[in-house]
Amino acid sequence: MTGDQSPMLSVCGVYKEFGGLMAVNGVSFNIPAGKVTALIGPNGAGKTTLFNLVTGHHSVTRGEIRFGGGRIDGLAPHEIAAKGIVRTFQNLQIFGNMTALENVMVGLHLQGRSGMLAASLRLKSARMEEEEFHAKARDYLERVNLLSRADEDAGSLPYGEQRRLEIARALAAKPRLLLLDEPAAGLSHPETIALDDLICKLRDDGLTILLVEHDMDLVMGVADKVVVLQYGTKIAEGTPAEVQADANVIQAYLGSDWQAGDA
Amino acid sequence: MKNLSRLFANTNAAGWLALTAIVLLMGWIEIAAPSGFDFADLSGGVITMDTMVRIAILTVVLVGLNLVMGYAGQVSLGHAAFYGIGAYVSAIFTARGHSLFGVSQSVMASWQWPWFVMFAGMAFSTTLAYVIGKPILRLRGHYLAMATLGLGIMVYILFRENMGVQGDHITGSYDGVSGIPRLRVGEFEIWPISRYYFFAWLVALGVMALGMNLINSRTGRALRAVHGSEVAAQAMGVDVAAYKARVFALGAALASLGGSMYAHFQAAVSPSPFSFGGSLELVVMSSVGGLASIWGAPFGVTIILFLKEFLRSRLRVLLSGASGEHEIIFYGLLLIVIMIFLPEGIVIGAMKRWKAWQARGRKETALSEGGKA
Amino acid sequence: MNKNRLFVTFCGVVLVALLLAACQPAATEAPTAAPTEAPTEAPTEAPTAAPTEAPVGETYKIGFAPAITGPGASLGDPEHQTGKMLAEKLMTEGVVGPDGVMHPVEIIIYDTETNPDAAVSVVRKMIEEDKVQVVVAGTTSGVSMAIVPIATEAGVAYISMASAGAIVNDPETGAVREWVFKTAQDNYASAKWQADYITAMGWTSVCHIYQNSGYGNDTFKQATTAFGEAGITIAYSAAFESAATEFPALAEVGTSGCQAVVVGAIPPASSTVSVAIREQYPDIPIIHGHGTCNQDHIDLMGSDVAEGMVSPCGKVMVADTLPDDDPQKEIVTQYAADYTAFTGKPVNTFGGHGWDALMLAVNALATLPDGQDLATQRAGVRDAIENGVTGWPGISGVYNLSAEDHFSLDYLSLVFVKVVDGKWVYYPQEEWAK
Repeated sequence: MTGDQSPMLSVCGVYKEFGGLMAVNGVSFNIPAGKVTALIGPNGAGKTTLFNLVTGHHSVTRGEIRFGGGRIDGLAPHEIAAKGIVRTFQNLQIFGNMTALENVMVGLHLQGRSGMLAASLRLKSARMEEEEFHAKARDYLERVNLLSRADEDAGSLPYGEQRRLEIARALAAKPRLLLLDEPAAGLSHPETIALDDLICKLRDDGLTILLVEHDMDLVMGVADKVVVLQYGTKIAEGTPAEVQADANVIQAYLGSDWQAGDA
Repeated sequence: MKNLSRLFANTNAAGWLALTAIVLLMGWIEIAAPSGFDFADLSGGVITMDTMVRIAILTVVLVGLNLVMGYAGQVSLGHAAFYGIGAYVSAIFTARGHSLFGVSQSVMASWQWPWFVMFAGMAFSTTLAYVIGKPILRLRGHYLAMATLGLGIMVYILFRENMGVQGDHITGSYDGVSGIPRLRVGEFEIWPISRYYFFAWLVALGVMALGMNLINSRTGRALRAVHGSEVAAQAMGVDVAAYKARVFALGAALASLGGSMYAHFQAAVSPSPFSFGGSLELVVMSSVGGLASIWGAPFGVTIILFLKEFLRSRLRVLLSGASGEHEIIFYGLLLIVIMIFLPEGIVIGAMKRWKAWQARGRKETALSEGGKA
Repeated sequence: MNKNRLFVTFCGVVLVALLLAACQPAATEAPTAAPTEAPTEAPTEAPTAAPTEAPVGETYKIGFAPAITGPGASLGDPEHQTGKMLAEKLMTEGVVGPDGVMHPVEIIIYDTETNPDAAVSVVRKMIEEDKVQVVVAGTTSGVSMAIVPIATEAGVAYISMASAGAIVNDPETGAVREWVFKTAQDNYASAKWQADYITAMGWTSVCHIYQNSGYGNDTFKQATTAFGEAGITIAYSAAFESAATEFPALAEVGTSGCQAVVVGAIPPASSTVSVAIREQYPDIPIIHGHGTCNQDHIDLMGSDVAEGMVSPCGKVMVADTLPDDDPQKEIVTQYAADYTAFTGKPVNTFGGHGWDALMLAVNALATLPDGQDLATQRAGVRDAIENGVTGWPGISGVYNLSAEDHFSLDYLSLVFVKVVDGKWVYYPQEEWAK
């Protein structure tokens, strides 16, 4: 198994209750550093809830989440982001009121220092930072092949490009752990292949990735480790090959979207 | 000079300089009155210096409101409260400082005192907004609108009821506070009105420049991100609650500054401009000009005030027997029409139409020329 | 596409309309303008001189801005009507100066919208653009206070139609404001009358029920002062909201043991609350303030309910029942008749404040010799009002203005009235104790 390396993120016996409903029911797993871990499961299995627990958008009912050795459950989302956990969203959360470049510049937020006063007076520090941000943001747009769209309104970009823009924005925040929430949803086949390449490239650059995904081809292609959830409970964990052979997993997915390959 | 150009480097500098030029030109016409032709004659006596000064003052207030509502997306239906606090702090401390608080006559008479009061008022409004903003800005949408509405009404009632104290020695109840001195710098009095015009526009243009700098900065982007998507902003490490409270405080500071400028312009303040109607009018001006735009501030105020002045003096000529009520109806109709056809406000709406028109033109020429980026 | 075209069309229409308006020479009337509105138009020198024997000089201008709209409109409307009524006459007859030169007087009407900002804008406009000799403006106190500094700085005499004492006397120093006059009694005058009446009736304890408005709160404040001076106890007081239809506070009136109820409210609230008091306490005497002095107040509650209620009022309300030796009898009777003929409505005291203010201005203009410059004329008007008004009967009272007093009416310029058969009737002191 994969427990031999020191984990980047460990989820230990985490519960999340929504008004009597146990959405996440005592789930534990580790995310090894420098690997791509995929979180899969049928609809309503609690994948997105677990995601939101890790990023602090929901609070944990019981259990612990550790990141790089320290506990992060109970921290506010922006504090968790500051620790290096950055995410994308299943339902796109592009800042439609800004250009593509500005969206990425928001990703750089944590690397900046300048405050309200410095900014409004355009002090030297603020100007230098701004120039630096511009250059950096363009780099990130280049990485997702969106540089030509830099000055367009982000809200008017096609869907696939907005997906990539979200990834660029997340990358700009210099994550230690990148959480991708269904990044292939709604993408065409060629776009999915490009995404596949991008994720592999990021992993090769040493980034740790947690992926929630429905597209099984993508998951099996890029994931080093797979965690399977059902009804808020972990039912399997292991390499893609191990998981595919797991009796519980086959049971859970039989007749559902496992065979359909889904979209 | 280089410093100055840097200050505006990232703003819509051309537009800003054009506005500055217009302001200077109009001021020059008023002062020099070339061949007896003064400013008011430009519009046949309809638009006077008085209106121009009001536009400048309200621009200061609206830049703040636009930052809060248009950029950070936080509805405020009580902004007139901070405008009023600025006005009343200036009024009370410069006109009644001696009798109420025992400020010595010599201090009261010094030219620095009103300026000090003005900044103290800003500090007070800022602190108050920050303290109140922290809890109420957790609310969203209608709830936030209701909370700010409540805040506005509460402050208005305090003004109207002499801060809840028997008598009318503090805010003067319905009569308000009069006897507010004009501003001075040393021996130089910023009055008559043509001088105040330059002062008010200096502040307004400065505030616009600061506002434009701010929105194109790390802080400004964080604010716009809060508007665009709170969860995504948080995920990028933006402390949403803190930014909301800060921008609310900044909006309050600018409103307070505008209020103080108003007090020294009007020389007497009374509660009615700071009622719910006042807040609503600010929101209307803001929406007409364009919420998410610093330029929306001067445009929105100018359109609404010009409209009012024209209706006041011309509607009766156009429409027989028209009275004040007709003006209000006509004014309301115009607003509805603007909101239907340019829902994002004049500035943004017009810009979008212009871009669309240009794009159409490009498409046509592209057929023959091959098009360019 | 369709939306686009509509928008462009609309913009076009508005632009054309505004341009038309802007290009319209102010002197000539637009074809659609009603002739009766002529005096309200923007200003020019266009003396359409009537044929008179006297030589005709320049047209004098009075800037007149009551609250035609806004919360003060119910008071501002009769002032506005009075202004329109006088405007027609003054434009043709004008005033004749000491040198025998006739000057048409134009009343330029604006609306303060009961809003201090709008008021200051229009007053500046009348002073700077219309070049008026004198300003008559401000229906409510807050608006009047905002006009004070504008008129003072410009050196233009300003006559307010509102009541607050602070308008003519600086509340900080008590000093008389050089350029400012007013024509409306404040609530202290009303309260004094009420105190006199209460004392005469041998009562010592009253209840005060007032509307939660500027007027209502002030009636309570003034009553506290005036009743205190007269040794009358306010056993119970409560405020009610202007739109209230139920008055739970009235329950305490019975338990407090007060001998009469003083109401501080204006119609329609004054009528609603009176009905409620009558329902619960059929016999308790009800005393109103001078804010109720119009026919609406009686009609709204019905004459049987109103019967016997008393209040201090301006004399104009009871013009025909005033004693013949009253110095104002002639003028108030005339005004009441003119007003009713002009508007078709019963007269009220607020129109009287407007009449007094305008006539003070007109009479002062009549003292100006021909050919002075504007600043001198403006100063002349001020001096004439301050020094030239002695024993002058107006609608609100007999004025004796001086450098020490820019209002001069004491509470006795009001009269006490009583509702008899659904009408206000003069109710002199001699009849009280009966």
